[in-house]
Amino acid sequence: MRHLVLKLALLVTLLTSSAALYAQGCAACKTNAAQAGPEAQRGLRRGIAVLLIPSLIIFSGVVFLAYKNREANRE
Amino acid sequence: MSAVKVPSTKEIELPDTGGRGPINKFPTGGGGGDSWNDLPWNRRGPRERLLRCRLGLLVMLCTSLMLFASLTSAYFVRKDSGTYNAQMRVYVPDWKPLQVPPLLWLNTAILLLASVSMELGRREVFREPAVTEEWLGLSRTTVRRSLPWLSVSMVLGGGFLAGQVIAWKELYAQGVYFKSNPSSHFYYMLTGLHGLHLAGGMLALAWALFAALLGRRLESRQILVDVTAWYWHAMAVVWLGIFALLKLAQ
Repeated sequence: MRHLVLKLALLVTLLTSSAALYAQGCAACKTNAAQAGPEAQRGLRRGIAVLLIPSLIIFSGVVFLAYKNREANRE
Repeated sequence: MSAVKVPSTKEIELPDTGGRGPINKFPTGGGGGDSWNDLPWNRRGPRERLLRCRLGLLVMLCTSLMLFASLTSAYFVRKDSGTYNAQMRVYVPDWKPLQVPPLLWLNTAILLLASVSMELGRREVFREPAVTEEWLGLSRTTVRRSLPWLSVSMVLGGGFLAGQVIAWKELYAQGVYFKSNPSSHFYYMLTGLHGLHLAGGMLALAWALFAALLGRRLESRQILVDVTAWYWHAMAVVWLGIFALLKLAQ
C-alpha cells in the first residue's frame, strides 16, 4: 500500500514536472499549425480530441477484456 | 521402547456390525462430467459460441467506429481551416455551411424504428418457451414469431436507404454536388459510408432470414439474428452521431 502511494506520487510528480516536449517534432507541421489562425487551431484541438477519445476507449476496452478473460488463455 | 505394543489403526479390523450395505459406486444415471464448464475452452456449447460471435462483432465495430471517428476529426479540422492565399499570406475560410435536407429527420425516425423492430425480433428468437418448443421439435416457433419483425426491419432499412438517395437527389437539385465544397464532400462521404455499412447489415439480415427459412440449427440462427441486431443498433447510434455532426457543426 505504501509502495503504491509512493509510486503514484512519483508518477504524478513526473507527469506534472515535465518540460514542454513539442512531441510533434515535425518542424513544418509545427510552423504550419502556429501560423494558422485561432479558428484553425481550435479545429485542430477538436480534431485531436475526437481522434484520441474513441481510440483510448477502444484500447482500454481491449485491455479490460483481455484481463477479465485471462483464465481462458491459461492452459 | 514402550513395554506395551499398541496396534496401529491400520491393523485394527472392525467387526462387521451389519449396518448399511456397501456404498453403491455405480453412476446413477444422471451422469457426471458433462457440464459445459468442465469442457476445454472453445467447446463450451452454444452460449460460448454466442459470446465469441459478439466479441468478433465488437472488434469489427471498433474498426467502423474508428473510421467514422477519423472522418469526424478530419471534419472538424477541415471546417475551421481554409485554403492558403499566397498573395495575401492569409488563410481564407472556404467552408460553406450546408443545409441538411429536412428529409433526414424522417430517415432518422425510420432507422430508429428499424432498430426497435430488430430488437423485438431478436427477443423473439431467445424467448424461452418458443426455444423449448423448437428444441423439442414441436414447431418452428422462433421462426414464426421473429420473421415478421425481421422482415419489417428489412423493409424499414430499405426505406432508410431510399430516403438517403432521395436526400442526395434533393441536394443535387439545389446544385450541391460532391465537388461543390468541403462541406458537401463530407456530407456525401459520411452518408454514403454509413449507407454502405447499413447495406452490409441488410445483407446480414437477408442471410439470417434465409437461414431461418432453410432451417439451420437453432443456435446458429439465434446467433445470426443476435449479431445482426447488435450491428443494426450500432449503425443506428453511428447515424445519430453523423446526423448530429452534420446538423449542428456546419
